[in-house]
Amino acid sequence: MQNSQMEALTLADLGPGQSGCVVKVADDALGHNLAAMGLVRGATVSLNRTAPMGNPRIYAIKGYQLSLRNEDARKVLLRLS
Amino acid sequence: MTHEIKIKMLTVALTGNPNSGKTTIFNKLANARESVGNYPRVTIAPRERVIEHRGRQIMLVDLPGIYSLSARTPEEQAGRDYIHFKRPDVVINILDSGNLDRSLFLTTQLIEMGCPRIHALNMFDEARRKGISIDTPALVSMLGGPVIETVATTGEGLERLLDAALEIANPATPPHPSVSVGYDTHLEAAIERVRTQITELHPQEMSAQQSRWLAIKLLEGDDEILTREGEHKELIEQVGTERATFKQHHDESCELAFAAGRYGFIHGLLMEARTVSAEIPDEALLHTKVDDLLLHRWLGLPILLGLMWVMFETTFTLGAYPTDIIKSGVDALSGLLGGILPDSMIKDLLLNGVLAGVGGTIVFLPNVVILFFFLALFSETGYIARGAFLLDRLMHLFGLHGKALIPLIMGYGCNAPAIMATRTIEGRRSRIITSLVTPFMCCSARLPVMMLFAGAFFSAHAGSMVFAMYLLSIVTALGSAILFSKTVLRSMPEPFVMELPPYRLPSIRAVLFHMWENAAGFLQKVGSVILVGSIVIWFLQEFPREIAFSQDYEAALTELSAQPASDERTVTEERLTAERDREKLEKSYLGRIGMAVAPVFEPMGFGWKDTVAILTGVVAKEAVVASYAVLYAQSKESEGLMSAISGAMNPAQAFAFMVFALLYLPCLATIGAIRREAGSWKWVGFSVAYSLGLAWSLALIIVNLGRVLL
Ligand SMILES: Nc1nc2c(ncn2[C@@H]2O[C@H](COP(=O)(O)OP(=O)(O)OP(=O)(O)O)[C@@H](O)[C@H]2O)c(=O)[nH]1
Ligand SMILES: [Mg+2]
Repeated sequence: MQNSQMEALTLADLGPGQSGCVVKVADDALGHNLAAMGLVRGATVSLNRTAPMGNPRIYAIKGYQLSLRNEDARKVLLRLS
Repeated sequence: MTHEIKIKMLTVALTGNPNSGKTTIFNKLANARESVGNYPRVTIAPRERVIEHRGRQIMLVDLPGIYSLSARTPEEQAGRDYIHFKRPDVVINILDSGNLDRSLFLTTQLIEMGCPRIHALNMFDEARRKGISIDTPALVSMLGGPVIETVATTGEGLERLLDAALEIANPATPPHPSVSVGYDTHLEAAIERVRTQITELHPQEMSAQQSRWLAIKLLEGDDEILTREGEHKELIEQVGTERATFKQHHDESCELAFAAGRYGFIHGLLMEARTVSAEIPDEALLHTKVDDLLLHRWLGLPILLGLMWVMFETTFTLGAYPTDIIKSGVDALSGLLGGILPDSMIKDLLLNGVLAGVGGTIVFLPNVVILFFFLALFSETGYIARGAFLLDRLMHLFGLHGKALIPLIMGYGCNAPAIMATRTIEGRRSRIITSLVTPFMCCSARLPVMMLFAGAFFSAHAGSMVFAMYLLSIVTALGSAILFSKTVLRSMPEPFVMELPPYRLPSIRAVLFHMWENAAGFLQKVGSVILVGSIVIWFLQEFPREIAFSQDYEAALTELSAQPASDERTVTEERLTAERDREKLEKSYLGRIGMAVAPVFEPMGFGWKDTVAILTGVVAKEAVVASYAVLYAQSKESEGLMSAISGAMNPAQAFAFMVFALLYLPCLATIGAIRREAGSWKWVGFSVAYSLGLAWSLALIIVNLGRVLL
């Protein structure tokens, strides 16, 4: 149980002030876009802000701010760092 | 061979990530006025301009920004195809120096393509302030091309960009040693295998660099390149197997592995060429604080609403002062002309046609200019992108994409370019929905109508009334969007991936310039459509000259004047004159047209004059006010247009008219834009029918509610 939850950690689960290291990105058009914008295996991301209704959220990646909806952020798997 | 062919014009294309300053550079170099804004994807179609530099003709091309050469939205494809297929002689790659990691991703692809390139380290001023120092000479050899530090806003380094372009285009210049982006051993092995096959198929046709590029593109699954190579079945099959095996062995697709490899290369490069000071600059701290407030979870949306209110309220109240000055100017001119010109038809045409129509519209110039000041401020500071972030969830509920906020807000300025801006939205259906609802946004041309009515009927709360119309316009747009997305245009949810631009202080020059541009546009419209429209309306209401009156007014009046003066006589005289004038107007061509259509508006109690104003508004929305001005120019009692019309309707009718004028039809320019973006007349027809129906029904409901409540 513990283990499977660890594996299922996605960008959308990142809490305030936490940062993580990208493990895997979905292999679809959106995933490829995200990869081009810096969300590649090994990149560090952290959560910056959350919009009024909890969605979308702003992440800091590669020195800039990227906003993503939570449903899209689920396409990025993370390891907490 | 002619002379022109020998000295071929040099094509120089500006490419780079969205919001990296390409258009700012283009405008400076080509003395152009393309729109610039501090949010990604302002430019949506390539723009070309011929310039001369050191005696050489250069075709400078500004392209839509792209993050990668495998892009998907229509506007990104335009940006990419230019580089891929048109092959400009020189590519100027504009980098955001403060944001090099991501900017360099596209650069790795340009390097692989091997196109002759120059790299501009733009926004160098911001990088300096952020405490970033860049070893520019080291980058020259790493990126395989001249690297020039630039600040587009001040023009720093821009001349050197063109010098460098001329230099690398000169065949006498030795080529820069080629560089290549290295990948891990597995990818490199796959590239090598595909490359061998390519060289067998195209023997001697390609340089090592070109075949490597093609191999990488094929492995990345670039559809277009694959179709082009479609005839080589074995090659396609081999690439297919390579991609499948790679994915199987590495639990990652080739595309993602290449992306990771590129970022690895960039990381290594920046380790050597860039140092970032550990200290966080005050400016960054300040920007975070501003965001803490403007993007606050609870305060963010109320602040957004408040800012919009301030914008419309200021547009109304502050605009009133210069408006008064213009108005007295127009009145003075009219008085002057009235005094010196002999009574004639020409005088009538000038005073009651041209001056009334043009003057009646031009008084709203200050309001339009103030509105554009705010729009420029929002887009230049970077707030508009934050608005899209704050509102995305709400927009999503309405079946719209967060990115649709930008066309919608641009729609407050002018609908036609706003509809073009829907190109940044990926899915076709979402895009069509956005172009269909954007015309509901109360554009600056409708502002005069709203102000005229608000001032005439609701003068105590005129500002709030105009604000209410703005709110209504967005509510209608959102409501229609949800309706469309649930019925005619069922759309799939789409990703919302948006870079948040840093806050930038807009230069006063840029804002003033933006205001001037739009003021000039407004004046131009007044000088063309409004001028001609006013003259046409004047003629239509003055002709035919001979009218069969229902009674002989002249005879009755003469008879009256023979009687001794009394209060009763004056009253009858006035009544007769008024009746005569009314009948004359009603039997004029304009009156007949208006009366023919008026039954449509009968249920709301709009008269034929209102009908005429509504009809002229189809050409351009400013024409509504001009029509009223001409139609009421002759009424003797008029103290001004506002008081003249204030007697014509009750408040509920006036409100209904405002709502109708807000929603009823896209103007001709907007119809053209819908046709282009939605791709067929079918959608234009739909848009016209829907908006007419909606406007008519809402107006009817309001009038009837008014009857019940008032
Ligand atoms: N401080 C600073 N600001 C700049 C510089 N160059 C551009 N800007 C600002 O950056 C913003 C984006 O500029 P644009 O020229 O619209 O960018 P673009 O690359 O054409 O963007 P897209 O058309 O969206 O791809 C504007 O607000 C500019 O005023 C620069 O060198 N320094
Ligand atoms: Mg641009």
